[in-house]
Amino acid sequence: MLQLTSVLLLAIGVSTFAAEPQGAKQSEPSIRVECHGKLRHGVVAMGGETTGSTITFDGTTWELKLPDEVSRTFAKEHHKNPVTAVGTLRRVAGTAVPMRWIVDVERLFKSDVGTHKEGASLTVLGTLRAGDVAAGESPGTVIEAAGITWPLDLSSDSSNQSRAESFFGKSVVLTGRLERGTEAKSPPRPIIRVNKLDAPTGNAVPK
Amino acid sequence: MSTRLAFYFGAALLGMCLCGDSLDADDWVVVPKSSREKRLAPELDLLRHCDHHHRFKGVSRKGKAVFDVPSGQAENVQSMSIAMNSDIPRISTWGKRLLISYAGQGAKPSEATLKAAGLNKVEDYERGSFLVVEPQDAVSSKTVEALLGDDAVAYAAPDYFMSISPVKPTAEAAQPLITGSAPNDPLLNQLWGMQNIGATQVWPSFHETPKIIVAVIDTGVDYNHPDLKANMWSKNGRYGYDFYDDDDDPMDEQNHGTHCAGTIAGAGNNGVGVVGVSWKAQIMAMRFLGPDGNGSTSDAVKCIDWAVANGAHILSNSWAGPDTSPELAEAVTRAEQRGVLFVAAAGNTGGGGNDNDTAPYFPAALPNANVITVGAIDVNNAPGSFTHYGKRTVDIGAPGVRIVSTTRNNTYDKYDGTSMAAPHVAGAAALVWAKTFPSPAPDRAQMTKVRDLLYENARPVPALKGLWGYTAPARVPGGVLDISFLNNTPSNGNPTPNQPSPVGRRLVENRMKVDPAKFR
Repeated sequence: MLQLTSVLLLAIGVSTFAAEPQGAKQSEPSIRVECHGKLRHGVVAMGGETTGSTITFDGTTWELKLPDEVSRTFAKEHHKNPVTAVGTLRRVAGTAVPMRWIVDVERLFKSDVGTHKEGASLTVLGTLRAGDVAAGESPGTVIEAAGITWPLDLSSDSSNQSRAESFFGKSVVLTGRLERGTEAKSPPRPIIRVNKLDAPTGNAVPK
Repeated sequence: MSTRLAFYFGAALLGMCLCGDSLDADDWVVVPKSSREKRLAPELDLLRHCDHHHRFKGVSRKGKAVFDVPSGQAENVQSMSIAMNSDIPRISTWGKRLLISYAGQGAKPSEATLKAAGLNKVEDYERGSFLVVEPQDAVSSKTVEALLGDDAVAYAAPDYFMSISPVKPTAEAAQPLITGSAPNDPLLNQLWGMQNIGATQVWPSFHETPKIIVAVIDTGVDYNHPDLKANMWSKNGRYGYDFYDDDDDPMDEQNHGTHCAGTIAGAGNNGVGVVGVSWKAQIMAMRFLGPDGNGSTSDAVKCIDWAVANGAHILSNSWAGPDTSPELAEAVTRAEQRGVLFVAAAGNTGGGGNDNDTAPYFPAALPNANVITVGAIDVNNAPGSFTHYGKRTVDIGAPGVRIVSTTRNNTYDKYDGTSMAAPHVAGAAALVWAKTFPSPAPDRAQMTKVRDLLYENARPVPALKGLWGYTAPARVPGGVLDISFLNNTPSNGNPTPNQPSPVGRRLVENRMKVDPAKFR
């Protein structure tokens, strides 16, 4: 009887544990990325403000926070080689380095140069709104997620703009590709070229 | 974070509230913290203006104001017998706007917060992670409480109309930190670190180390800076080497290395800008970190070997990474074999630092006998909020918060970091080396003696106990760099060189033979 109770309690605990974080995460703004670029490992930085690994694509460099010894060994072996990193992007204010962009890596593997064009695709769960030009933002539509505001390029589909405007002030999930902006800024501000725009669903931000 | 938060709120609000006001001493009172101000550090108190609205005016620490005071208001505050921080550059003009910095990883301050605080958003400057806002009305306690209540607010500060390039001499500079033969460098009184480490006590009798070469292994050095030019090491008209671009022009394209160089050996008593710990040492410029502040371990190794092969006594290393490599460890060992001191920044991690004992950063955590790893302290001898620590792997503390020094193109700026602490130790080592040895040379016995003198004379600070300095050859738990002992030491004495310490972590034996000619 005691064993049965224990098993039941364990089962309830496991199911609760499995369900709770997923639901919680989906309600929070997040930026999932899959980036293809050149890996550097053994990186050092001013004040030690680095994870020690970076990925560079199309003029953008993000730090890679590697989860375990296996991935660190892989990174060491693939220093200066093309790789694909999948994870969650965040931005951190540093002390010597003003702003650090860090991908908390979940998967890291050798990139197939023939298949994967250098760059980053993103799945963003955030809030849409009009860009505030007076505040230095790009005109047009922007998405805010995890403290980061990204300008959007909605030109891939003629219906995207009106669809986006219908979502202003609301949570959305969009998928797209990171590209350099065309505005006369140096360096140009990155934009997301949107492929798909939807209201969040239960599986909005797939792992 | 809370100290910084309090500081900037104080700065912001005092500036906003004092503009145009004329205050009397009776207008102020120190108000004990209430539960609503729980985010202030324990030692901080709010200063409130005792008018009908009980408006916030600033923040004090143990009775000492920790906020900027706008031009023309210093007398008002001094009349309240509140000591002023002397290391803060004079703000030429106060603007009406505030800057609100986003918290590190969190979201931006919400519209609801701004509304509750009575602030209009003027600009969201993402690159700098701050909002520019304009108060709708006078800043009040409501503003403070609304901002304190939003976790997305890291700190607020006035949007100064100011030029920090160069930092202007302050009124306080007329009251020198030291008497007697004080250098005439106009920013002297903003260099709190020089007083903290006892350099100002030593300078009247000893301040130049022209025979000592200190290699700044970093982003390069602006060798044309008027406060550095006279002290640049050179060989065949070159000031060092650039392994980032692989050429012989180590010009800084970032500022970080130039800042470090100014703390080590900014030209002293030249009537310009700052003064280094050593007024005259030779700065060897080594570049391997790029404009983004990143570099590779392999290029760092080349810098170390190049500097050692070209006669450096001391290597100042304000960089690190979480991965180590045998190549880096071997390069540091080669330096040790040649009697070259290796000063390393412990590293920075925002929001409380990192224990290098359990999560090491390198080269800071290397066990070599020539490595001195440095943590950062602030003007109150408290650890910098970002500083890495480690009983076994960090050796000593030094000033690393709000450090004014040289930056590129004849400018000056104020930086935080263990990157700023390590140069204080490197400059101090130059003074100790030159004062201790009549013929200072890269030599293992001399290097060991210099290292041990720095450790033996560290000033114990109770608040830093538990953070660093527990393992030999470091000798003072919670110790802070203090070279005031040099004031009582005869110049160029003939001390008996110490043997390397018999125990402790810095015990790597030198097993490698190196041919310096192999390195450029």
